[in-house]
Amino acid sequence: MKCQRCNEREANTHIQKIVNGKKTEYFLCDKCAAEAGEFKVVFDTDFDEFFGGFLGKPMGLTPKTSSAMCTGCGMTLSEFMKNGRLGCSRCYEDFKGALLKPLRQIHGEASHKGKIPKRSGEKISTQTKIKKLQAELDTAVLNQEFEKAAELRDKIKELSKGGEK
Amino acid sequence: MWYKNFGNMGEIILSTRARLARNISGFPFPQRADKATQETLLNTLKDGVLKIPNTTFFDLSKMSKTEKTALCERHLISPVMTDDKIMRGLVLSNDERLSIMLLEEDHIRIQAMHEGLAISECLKSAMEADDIIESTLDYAFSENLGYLTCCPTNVGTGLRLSVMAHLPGFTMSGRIEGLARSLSKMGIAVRGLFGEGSQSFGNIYQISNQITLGISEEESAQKLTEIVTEIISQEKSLQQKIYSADKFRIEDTVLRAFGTLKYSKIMTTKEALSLLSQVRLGINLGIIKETDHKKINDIMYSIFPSALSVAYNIENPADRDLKRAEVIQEKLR
Ligand SMILES: [Zn+2]
Ligand SMILES: [Zn+2]
Repeated sequence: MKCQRCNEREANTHIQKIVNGKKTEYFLCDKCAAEAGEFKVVFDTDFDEFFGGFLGKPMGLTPKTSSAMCTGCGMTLSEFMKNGRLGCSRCYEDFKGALLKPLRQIHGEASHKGKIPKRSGEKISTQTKIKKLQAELDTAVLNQEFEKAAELRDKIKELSKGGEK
Repeated sequence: MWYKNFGNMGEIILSTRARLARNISGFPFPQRADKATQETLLNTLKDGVLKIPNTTFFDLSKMSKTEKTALCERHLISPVMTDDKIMRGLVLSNDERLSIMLLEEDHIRIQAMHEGLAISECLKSAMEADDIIESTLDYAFSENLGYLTCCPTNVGTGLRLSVMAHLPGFTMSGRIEGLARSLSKMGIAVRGLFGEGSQSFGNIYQISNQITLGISEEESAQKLTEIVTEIISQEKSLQQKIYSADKFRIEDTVLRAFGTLKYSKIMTTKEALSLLSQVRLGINLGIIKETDHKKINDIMYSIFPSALSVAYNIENPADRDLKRAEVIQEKLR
Protein backbone atom coordinates (compact mmCIF):
# COMPACT_ATOMS: atom_id res chain seq x y z
CA MET A 1 0.00 0.00 0.00
CA LYS A 2 1.24 3.48 -0.90
CA CYS A 3 1.72 6.22 1.73
CA GLN A 4 -1.47 8.25 2.03
CA ARG A 5 0.37 11.54 2.33
CA CYS A 6 3.00 11.55 -0.42
CA ASN A 7 1.46 8.78 -2.53
CA GLU A 8 4.99 7.83 -3.55
CA ARG A 9 6.71 5.58 -1.03
CA GLU A 10 5.46 2.36 0.51
CA ALA A 11 3.43 2.87 3.70
CA ASN A 12 4.81 1.12 6.78
CA THR A 13 3.58 3.24 9.68
CA HIS A 14 0.08 3.31 11.03
CA ILE A 15 -1.27 6.48 12.71
CA GLN A 16 -4.61 6.70 14.45
CA LYS A 17 -6.41 9.87 15.32
CA ILE A 18 -9.58 9.85 17.32
CA VAL A 19 -11.87 12.85 17.47
CA ASN A 20 -15.20 12.73 19.25
CA GLY A 21 -14.99 8.99 19.49
CA LYS A 22 -14.57 8.56 15.74
CA LYS A 23 -11.42 6.90 14.56
CA THR A 24 -9.46 8.00 11.51
CA GLU A 25 -6.52 5.92 10.32
CA TYR A 26 -3.60 6.92 8.20
CA PHE A 27 -0.96 4.74 6.60
CA LEU A 28 2.29 6.59 6.07
CA CYS A 29 5.83 5.97 4.86
CA ASP A 30 8.81 6.42 7.23
CA LYS A 31 9.62 9.86 5.92
CA CYS A 32 6.10 11.28 6.22
CA ALA A 33 5.65 9.64 9.62
CA ALA A 34 8.87 11.30 10.81
CA GLU A 35 7.63 14.63 9.48
CA ALA A 36 4.42 14.14 11.41
CA GLY A 37 6.59 14.23 14.48
CA GLU A 38 8.99 16.90 13.28
CA PHE A 39 8.73 19.94 15.43
CA LYS A 40 11.32 22.77 15.29
CA VAL A 41 9.20 25.52 16.85
CA VAL A 42 5.76 24.05 16.48
CA PHE A 43 2.85 26.27 15.63
CA ASP A 44 -0.88 25.67 15.51
CA THR A 45 -0.87 25.49 11.75
CA ASP A 46 1.43 22.48 11.70
CA PHE A 47 -1.48 20.30 12.66
CA ASP A 48 -3.51 21.65 9.78
CA GLU A 49 -0.60 21.36 7.39
CA PHE A 50 -0.06 17.76 8.20
CA PHE A 51 -3.55 16.45 8.60
CA GLY A 52 -5.06 18.90 6.14
CA GLY A 53 -2.64 17.51 3.60
CA PHE A 54 -4.57 14.37 3.02
CA LEU A 55 -8.00 15.39 4.13
CA GLY A 56 -9.32 14.39 0.75
CA LYS A 57 -8.19 10.80 1.07
CA PRO A 58 -10.55 9.49 3.73
CA MET A 59 -13.50 10.97 1.85
CA GLY A 60 -13.26 8.14 -0.63
CA LEU A 61 -13.75 10.48 -3.57
CA THR A 62 -13.41 9.05 -7.04
CA PRO A 63 -11.61 10.97 -9.79
CA LYS A 64 -14.99 11.46 -11.48
CA THR A 65 -16.53 13.42 -8.62
CA SER A 66 -13.30 15.33 -8.01
CA SER A 67 -13.46 17.19 -11.34
CA ALA A 68 -16.03 19.51 -9.71
CA MET A 69 -14.95 23.16 -9.76
CA CYS A 70 -15.63 26.15 -7.51
CA THR A 71 -17.59 28.89 -9.28
CA GLY A 72 -15.91 31.51 -7.10
CA CYS A 73 -12.19 30.83 -7.52
CA GLY A 74 -11.94 28.03 -10.07
CA MET A 75 -10.36 25.56 -7.68
CA THR A 76 -11.10 21.93 -8.49
CA LEU A 77 -12.01 19.33 -5.93
CA SER A 78 -8.95 17.27 -6.80
CA GLU A 79 -6.73 20.30 -6.09
CA PHE A 80 -8.35 20.55 -2.68
CA MET A 81 -7.81 16.84 -2.07
CA LYS A 82 -4.14 17.31 -2.82
CA ASN A 83 -3.34 20.09 -0.34
CA GLY A 84 -6.36 20.20 1.96
CA ARG A 85 -6.81 23.96 1.43
CA LEU A 86 -9.84 25.67 -0.07
CA GLY A 87 -9.52 28.57 -2.48
CA CYS A 88 -12.30 30.88 -1.30
CA SER A 89 -15.36 30.92 0.93
CA ARG A 90 -17.53 29.96 -2.06
CA CYS A 91 -15.72 26.57 -2.16
CA TYR A 92 -17.64 25.55 0.95
CA GLU A 93 -20.90 25.96 -0.95
CA ASP A 94 -19.73 24.36 -4.19
CA PHE A 95 -17.97 21.40 -2.54
CA LYS A 96 -20.63 21.02 0.11
CA GLY A 97 -21.38 17.35 -0.52
CA ALA A 98 -17.73 16.34 -0.57
CA LEU A 99 -16.84 18.33 2.56
CA LEU A 100 -19.53 16.98 4.82
CA LYS A 101 -17.81 13.71 5.66
CA PRO A 102 -14.30 15.05 6.39
CA LEU A 103 -15.81 17.87 8.46
CA ARG A 104 -17.57 15.26 10.56
CA GLN A 105 -14.33 13.35 10.87
CA ILE A 106 -12.47 16.35 12.20
CA HIS A 107 -15.12 17.99 14.30
CA GLY A 108 -17.75 15.37 14.99
CA GLU A 109 -20.90 17.46 15.02
CA ALA A 110 -21.23 19.65 11.96
CA SER A 111 -23.11 22.86 12.80
CA HIS A 112 -21.77 26.20 14.08
CA LYS A 113 -22.50 27.01 17.71
CA GLY A 114 -20.16 29.95 18.30
CA LYS A 115 -19.99 33.70 17.77
CA ILE A 116 -22.03 35.37 15.02
CA PRO A 117 -20.57 38.50 13.43
CA LYS A 118 -22.87 41.51 13.76
CA ARG A 119 -22.54 42.77 10.18
CA SER A 120 -22.39 39.64 8.02
CA GLY A 121 -24.58 37.91 10.55
CA GLU A 122 -27.64 40.09 9.93
CA LYS A 123 -29.16 37.65 7.52
CA ILE A 124 -28.71 34.75 9.92
CA SER A 125 -32.01 33.16 10.78
CA THR A 126 -33.68 33.68 14.12
CA GLN A 127 -33.54 29.94 14.64
CA THR A 128 -29.72 29.92 14.65
CA LYS A 129 -29.61 32.91 16.98
CA ILE A 130 -31.90 31.12 19.39
CA LYS A 131 -29.79 27.98 19.20
CA LYS A 132 -26.70 30.00 20.05
CA LEU A 133 -28.39 31.78 22.95
CA GLN A 134 -29.68 28.45 24.21
CA ALA A 135 -26.10 27.14 24.32
CA GLU A 136 -25.00 30.24 26.23
CA LEU A 137 -27.91 29.75 28.60
CA ASP A 138 -26.88 26.15 29.28
CA THR A 139 -23.36 27.28 30.12
CA ALA A 140 -24.66 30.07 32.36
CA VAL A 141 -26.88 27.65 34.29
CA LEU A 142 -24.00 25.22 34.59
CA ASN A 143 -21.82 27.98 36.04
CA GLN A 144 -24.66 29.11 38.30
CA GLU A 145 -24.65 32.57 36.73
CA PHE A 146 -28.35 33.06 37.30
CA GLU A 147 -28.57 36.75 36.46
CA LYS A 148 -26.97 36.14 33.08
CA ALA A 149 -29.25 33.14 32.57
CA ALA A 150 -32.36 35.23 33.21
CA GLU A 151 -31.19 37.84 30.70
CA LEU A 152 -30.57 35.16 28.09
CA ARG A 153 -33.99 33.63 28.72
CA ASP A 154 -35.62 37.00 28.07
CA LYS A 155 -33.69 37.40 24.85
CA ILE A 156 -34.73 33.96 23.65
CA LYS A 157 -38.37 34.72 24.46
CA GLU A 158 -38.22 37.97 22.54
CA LEU A 159 -36.61 36.36 19.50
CA SER A 160 -39.11 33.49 19.39
CA LYS A 161 -41.98 36.02 19.51
CA GLY A 162 -40.47 38.05 16.67
CA GLY A 163 -40.00 34.92 14.60
CA GLU A 164 -43.72 34.09 14.74
CA LYS A 165 -44.77 37.38 13.18
CA MET B 1 8.36 41.71 27.35
CA TRP B 2 5.37 39.85 28.76
CA TYR B 3 6.52 36.36 27.73
CA LYS B 4 9.38 36.49 30.19
CA ASN B 5 6.99 37.09 33.09
CA PHE B 6 5.96 34.46 35.59
CA GLY B 7 2.17 34.09 35.43
CA ASN B 8 -0.61 32.08 37.04
CA MET B 9 0.65 28.47 37.47
CA GLY B 10 3.91 29.68 35.94
CA GLU B 11 5.84 26.78 37.45
CA ILE B 12 4.15 24.52 34.86
CA ILE B 13 2.40 26.77 32.32
CA LEU B 14 4.70 29.24 30.56
CA SER B 15 2.09 30.98 28.43
CA THR B 16 -1.39 30.87 26.91
CA ARG B 17 -2.62 31.87 23.47
CA ALA B 18 -5.99 32.31 21.77
CA ARG B 19 -6.09 32.42 17.99
CA LEU B 20 -9.03 33.36 15.77
CA ALA B 21 -9.00 32.64 12.03
CA ARG B 22 -11.03 35.10 9.92
CA ASN B 23 -11.56 35.85 6.24
CA ILE B 24 -13.39 38.70 4.61
CA SER B 25 -16.08 37.97 2.04
CA GLY B 26 -15.70 38.65 -1.67
CA PHE B 27 -12.00 37.78 -1.89
CA PRO B 28 -10.19 34.49 -2.51
CA PHE B 29 -8.03 33.12 0.33
CA PRO B 30 -4.42 34.45 0.27
CA GLN B 31 -2.71 31.58 -1.57
CA ARG B 32 -5.37 31.74 -4.30
CA ALA B 33 -5.10 35.53 -4.75
CA ASP B 34 -2.90 37.11 -7.43
CA LYS B 35 -0.38 39.86 -6.54
CA ALA B 36 -2.78 42.72 -7.31
CA THR B 37 -5.52 41.17 -5.19
CA GLN B 38 -3.02 40.54 -2.39
CA GLU B 39 -2.11 44.21 -2.42
CA THR B 40 -5.76 45.32 -2.31
CA LEU B 41 -6.43 42.82 0.43
CA LEU B 42 -3.44 43.87 2.51
CA ASN B 43 -4.46 47.54 2.36
CA THR B 44 -8.10 46.81 3.15
CA LEU B 45 -7.23 44.53 6.06
CA LYS B 46 -4.59 46.90 7.41
CA ASP B 47 -7.08 49.79 7.58
CA GLY B 48 -9.63 47.66 9.43
CA VAL B 49 -7.21 46.05 11.85
CA LEU B 50 -5.38 49.27 12.73
CA LYS B 51 -8.63 50.50 14.32
CA ILE B 52 -7.46 48.51 17.35
CA PRO B 53 -5.80 51.03 19.69
CA ASN B 54 -2.03 51.01 20.39
CA THR B 55 -1.07 48.90 17.41
CA THR B 56 1.56 49.22 14.69
CA PHE B 57 1.66 47.78 11.17
CA PHE B 58 4.72 45.95 9.81
CA ASP B 59 5.21 45.06 6.16
CA LEU B 60 6.93 41.67 6.39
CA SER B 61 8.31 41.89 2.85
CA LYS B 62 10.57 44.68 4.14
CA MET B 63 12.05 42.48 6.88
CA SER B 64 14.96 40.06 6.61
CA LYS B 65 14.44 36.32 6.96
CA THR B 66 16.34 36.35 10.28
CA GLU B 67 14.21 39.15 11.71
CA LYS B 68 11.08 37.27 10.70
CA THR B 69 12.36 34.01 12.20
CA ALA B 70 13.07 35.86 15.45
CA LEU B 71 9.39 36.96 15.52
CA CYS B 72 8.50 33.33 14.90
CA GLU B 73 10.60 32.14 17.86
CA ARG B 74 8.54 34.43 20.05
CA HIS B 75 5.39 32.98 18.46
CA LEU B 76 4.34 36.40 17.20
CA ILE B 77 4.08 35.04 13.67
CA SER B 78 3.82 31.51 12.27
CA PRO B 79 6.50 29.86 10.10
CA VAL B 80 4.61 30.40 6.82
CA MET B 81 4.77 34.15 7.45
CA THR B 82 8.56 34.05 7.02
CA ASP B 83 8.41 33.11 3.32
CA ASP B 84 8.19 35.58 0.43
CA LYS B 85 5.53 33.79 -1.60
CA ILE B 86 2.71 36.10 -0.54
CA MET B 87 2.66 39.76 0.57
CA ARG B 88 2.25 39.51 4.30
CA GLY B 89 1.59 41.98 7.06
CA LEU B 90 1.66 42.04 10.83
CA VAL B 91 -0.23 44.30 13.20
CA LEU B 92 1.34 44.17 16.63
CA SER B 93 0.16 45.82 19.83
CA ASN B 94 2.80 47.85 21.64
CA ASP B 95 2.93 45.39 24.53
CA GLU B 96 3.20 42.45 22.04
CA ARG B 97 0.28 40.69 23.69
CA LEU B 98 -1.83 41.02 20.56
CA SER B 99 -0.46 39.95 17.21
CA ILE B 100 -2.60 40.00 14.08
CA MET B 101 -1.22 38.25 11.04
CA LEU B 102 -2.46 39.51 7.68
CA LEU B 103 -2.49 37.17 4.68
CA GLU B 104 -1.30 34.13 6.54
CA GLU B 105 -3.22 31.06 5.41
CA ASP B 106 -6.38 33.05 6.19
CA HIS B 107 -6.84 36.77 5.57
CA ILE B 108 -6.69 37.51 9.28
CA ARG B 109 -5.33 35.56 12.22
CA ILE B 110 -5.83 37.26 15.56
CA GLN B 111 -3.60 36.06 18.38
CA ALA B 112 -3.93 37.14 22.00
CA MET B 113 -1.20 35.99 24.38
CA HIS B 114 -0.58 36.02 28.10
CA GLU B 115 1.99 34.63 30.53
CA GLY B 116 0.97 31.63 32.64
CA LEU B 117 -2.45 29.98 32.53
CA ALA B 118 -4.93 32.60 31.27
CA ILE B 119 -7.32 30.93 28.83
CA SER B 120 -10.40 33.08 29.39
CA GLU B 121 -8.33 36.30 29.47
CA CYS B 122 -6.79 35.45 26.09
CA LEU B 123 -10.15 34.51 24.61
CA LYS B 124 -11.64 37.78 25.85
CA SER B 125 -8.97 39.97 24.33
CA ALA B 126 -9.01 38.07 21.01
CA MET B 127 -12.80 38.51 20.89
CA GLU B 128 -12.51 42.23 21.62
CA ALA B 129 -10.03 42.66 18.79
CA ASP B 130 -12.40 40.67 16.59
CA ASP B 131 -15.30 43.00 17.47
CA ILE B 132 -13.28 46.04 16.41
CA ILE B 133 -12.19 44.42 13.14
CA GLU B 134 -15.69 43.30 12.21
CA SER B 135 -17.08 46.78 12.81
CA THR B 136 -15.57 47.81 9.45
CA LEU B 137 -14.88 44.54 7.59
CA ASP B 138 -17.39 41.96 6.35
CA TYR B 139 -16.43 38.45 7.38
CA ALA B 140 -16.98 35.32 5.31
CA PHE B 141 -19.52 33.52 7.46
CA SER B 142 -22.09 30.81 6.97
CA GLU B 143 -25.01 29.98 9.19
CA ASN B 144 -24.16 26.28 9.40
CA LEU B 145 -20.40 26.32 9.19
CA GLY B 146 -19.63 29.55 11.04
CA TYR B 147 -16.47 31.44 10.09
CA LEU B 148 -15.20 30.09 6.76
CA THR B 149 -11.50 29.30 6.81
CA CYS B 150 -8.94 28.20 4.25
CA CYS B 151 -8.41 24.86 5.97
CA PRO B 152 -11.56 22.97 7.02
CA THR B 153 -9.84 22.02 10.30
CA ASN B 154 -10.53 25.58 11.53
CA VAL B 155 -14.05 26.20 10.25
CA GLY B 156 -16.71 27.12 12.82
CA THR B 157 -15.33 29.30 15.58
CA GLY B 158 -11.88 29.51 13.94
CA LEU B 159 -10.63 29.39 17.51
CA ARG B 160 -7.53 27.60 18.66
CA LEU B 161 -6.69 27.91 22.35
CA SER B 162 -3.33 26.65 23.48
CA VAL B 163 -1.04 26.60 26.47
CA MET B 164 2.70 26.09 26.50
CA ALA B 165 3.37 23.63 29.31
CA HIS B 166 6.59 22.35 30.86
CA LEU B 167 5.97 18.69 31.67
CA PRO B 168 9.16 16.94 32.84
CA GLY B 169 7.15 14.74 35.22
CA PHE B 170 5.00 13.25 32.44
CA THR B 171 8.03 12.92 30.16
CA MET B 172 10.47 11.35 32.63
CA SER B 173 7.88 8.88 33.88
CA GLY B 174 7.09 7.84 30.30
CA ARG B 175 3.51 9.02 30.48
CA ILE B 176 3.50 11.78 27.89
CA GLU B 177 2.45 9.54 24.98
CA GLY B 178 -0.37 8.06 27.03
CA LEU B 179 -1.51 11.56 27.93
CA ALA B 180 -1.44 12.62 24.28
CA ARG B 181 -3.37 9.53 23.27
CA SER B 182 -6.11 9.91 25.83
CA LEU B 183 -6.48 13.65 25.20
CA SER B 184 -6.74 13.16 21.45
CA LYS B 185 -9.91 11.19 22.09
CA MET B 186 -11.32 14.38 23.59
CA GLY B 187 -10.23 16.53 20.67
CA ILE B 188 -7.22 17.96 22.47
CA ALA B 189 -3.74 17.78 20.95
CA VAL B 190 -0.44 17.59 22.86
CA ARG B 191 2.70 18.23 20.87
CA GLY B 192 6.36 18.78 21.68
CA LEU B 193 7.26 22.39 21.07
CA PHE B 194 10.94 22.13 20.25
CA GLY B 195 12.58 19.28 18.46
CA GLU B 196 14.35 17.62 15.61
CA GLY B 197 12.89 14.71 13.70
CA SER B 198 10.53 12.76 15.89
CA GLN B 199 12.64 13.52 18.96
CA SER B 200 11.38 16.43 21.04
CA PHE B 201 13.41 18.10 23.75
CA GLY B 202 13.13 20.67 26.49
CA ASN B 203 10.00 18.92 27.86
CA ILE B 204 7.86 21.80 26.65
CA TYR B 205 4.55 20.92 25.03
CA GLN B 206 1.71 22.74 23.40
CA ILE B 207 -1.74 21.63 24.51
CA SER B 208 -4.58 22.84 22.29
CA ASN B 209 -8.17 22.24 21.21
CA GLN B 210 -8.69 20.75 17.75
CA ILE B 211 -12.45 20.96 17.43
CA THR B 212 -13.94 24.23 16.19
CA LEU B 213 -17.33 23.20 14.87
CA GLY B 214 -20.37 22.37 16.99
CA ILE B 215 -18.80 23.93 20.08
CA SER B 216 -18.98 27.53 21.29
CA GLU B 217 -15.91 29.62 22.16
CA GLU B 218 -16.82 29.63 25.85
CA GLU B 219 -17.30 25.87 25.90
CA SER B 220 -13.90 25.37 24.24
CA ALA B 221 -12.29 27.62 26.85
CA GLN B 222 -14.02 25.89 29.73
CA LYS B 223 -13.11 22.43 28.48
CA LEU B 224 -9.45 23.28 27.94
CA THR B 225 -9.22 25.02 31.33
CA GLU B 226 -10.56 21.93 33.07
CA ILE B 227 -8.18 19.62 31.25
CA VAL B 228 -5.13 21.83 31.77
CA THR B 229 -5.93 22.27 35.46
CA GLU B 230 -5.98 18.49 35.82
CA ILE B 231 -2.71 18.13 33.90
CA ILE B 232 -1.06 20.70 36.20
CA SER B 233 -2.03 18.83 39.34
CA GLN B 234 -0.90 15.50 37.91
CA GLU B 235 2.37 17.03 36.72
CA LYS B 236 3.07 18.48 40.16
CA SER B 237 2.52 15.15 41.87
CA LEU B 238 4.60 13.31 39.24
CA GLN B 239 7.50 15.70 39.88
CA GLN B 240 7.29 14.98 43.59
CA LYS B 241 7.05 11.24 42.99
CA ILE B 242 10.10 11.20 40.74
CA TYR B 243 12.03 13.14 43.37
CA SER B 244 11.11 10.96 46.31
CA ALA B 245 11.76 7.76 44.33
CA ASP B 246 15.39 8.66 43.64
CA LYS B 247 16.26 11.75 45.66
CA PHE B 248 20.03 11.95 45.24
CA ARG B 249 20.00 11.11 41.55
CA ILE B 250 17.47 13.88 40.83
CA GLU B 251 19.47 16.35 42.91
CA ASP B 252 22.61 15.29 41.09
CA THR B 253 21.04 15.63 37.62
CA VAL B 254 19.47 18.97 38.35
CA LEU B 255 22.57 20.50 39.95
CA ARG B 256 24.83 19.22 37.18
CA ALA B 257 22.50 20.86 34.66
CA PHE B 258 22.75 24.13 36.57
CA GLY B 259 26.54 23.80 36.77
CA THR B 260 26.83 23.13 33.04
CA LEU B 261 24.74 26.18 32.20
CA LYS B 262 26.91 28.31 34.47
CA TYR B 263 30.31 27.08 33.38
CA SER B 264 30.35 25.96 29.75
CA LYS B 265 31.91 27.64 26.77
CA ILE B 266 29.93 26.19 23.84
CA MET B 267 26.19 25.60 24.02
CA THR B 268 23.73 24.46 21.33
CA THR B 269 20.05 25.43 21.47
CA LYS B 270 19.10 21.82 22.01
CA GLU B 271 21.46 21.31 24.94
CA ALA B 272 20.47 24.62 26.50
CA LEU B 273 16.74 23.82 26.34
CA SER B 274 17.28 20.40 27.91
CA LEU B 275 19.40 21.84 30.72
CA LEU B 276 16.96 24.70 31.33
CA SER B 277 14.22 22.10 31.72
CA GLN B 278 16.25 20.34 34.44
CA VAL B 279 16.82 23.63 36.20
CA ARG B 280 13.09 24.44 36.10
CA LEU B 281 12.43 21.08 37.72
CA GLY B 282 15.12 21.85 40.32
CA ILE B 283 13.41 25.16 41.14
CA ASN B 284 10.03 23.46 41.53
CA LEU B 285 11.49 20.82 43.86
CA GLY B 286 13.29 23.41 45.96
CA ILE B 287 16.72 22.04 45.01
CA ILE B 288 17.83 25.21 43.21
CA LYS B 289 17.18 28.44 45.08
CA GLU B 290 19.65 30.81 43.41
CA THR B 291 17.48 31.45 40.38
CA ASP B 292 13.79 31.52 39.45
CA HIS B 293 11.38 30.76 36.59
CA LYS B 294 11.30 34.35 35.43
CA LYS B 295 15.05 34.31 34.86
CA ILE B 296 14.80 30.96 33.07
CA ASN B 297 12.08 32.36 30.78
CA ASP B 298 14.31 35.33 30.03
CA ILE B 299 17.22 33.02 29.17
CA MET B 300 15.06 30.74 27.02
CA TYR B 301 13.78 33.55 24.82
CA SER B 302 17.25 35.09 24.52
CA ILE B 303 19.07 32.02 23.21
CA PHE B 304 17.02 30.90 20.22
CA PRO B 305 19.14 30.99 17.05
CA SER B 306 17.49 33.98 15.36
CA ALA B 307 17.07 35.90 18.60
CA LEU B 308 20.86 35.71 19.04
CA SER B 309 21.49 36.53 15.38
CA VAL B 310 19.36 39.66 15.62
CA ALA B 311 20.68 40.80 18.99
CA TYR B 312 24.39 40.27 18.28
CA ASN B 313 24.50 40.26 14.49
CA ILE B 314 25.90 36.72 14.29
CA GLU B 315 24.97 34.43 11.42
CA ASN B 316 27.46 31.57 11.90
CA PRO B 317 26.00 28.73 14.06
CA ALA B 318 29.38 27.97 15.69
CA ASP B 319 29.80 31.61 16.79
CA ARG B 320 26.22 31.54 18.01
CA ASP B 321 26.96 28.53 20.23
CA LEU B 322 29.81 30.49 21.85
CA LYS B 323 27.62 33.55 22.30
CA ARG B 324 24.80 31.43 23.72
CA ALA B 325 27.04 30.03 26.48
CA GLU B 326 28.23 33.57 27.27
CA VAL B 327 24.70 35.02 27.42
CA ILE B 328 23.49 32.25 29.71
CA GLN B 329 26.42 32.75 32.08
CA GLU B 330 25.88 36.49 32.25
CA LYS B 331 22.21 36.05 33.02
CA LEU B 332 22.84 33.41 35.68
CA ARG B 333 25.57 35.40 37.41
ZN1 LIG C 1 4.94 9.42 2.44
ZN1 LIG D 1 -13.53 28.71 -4.29
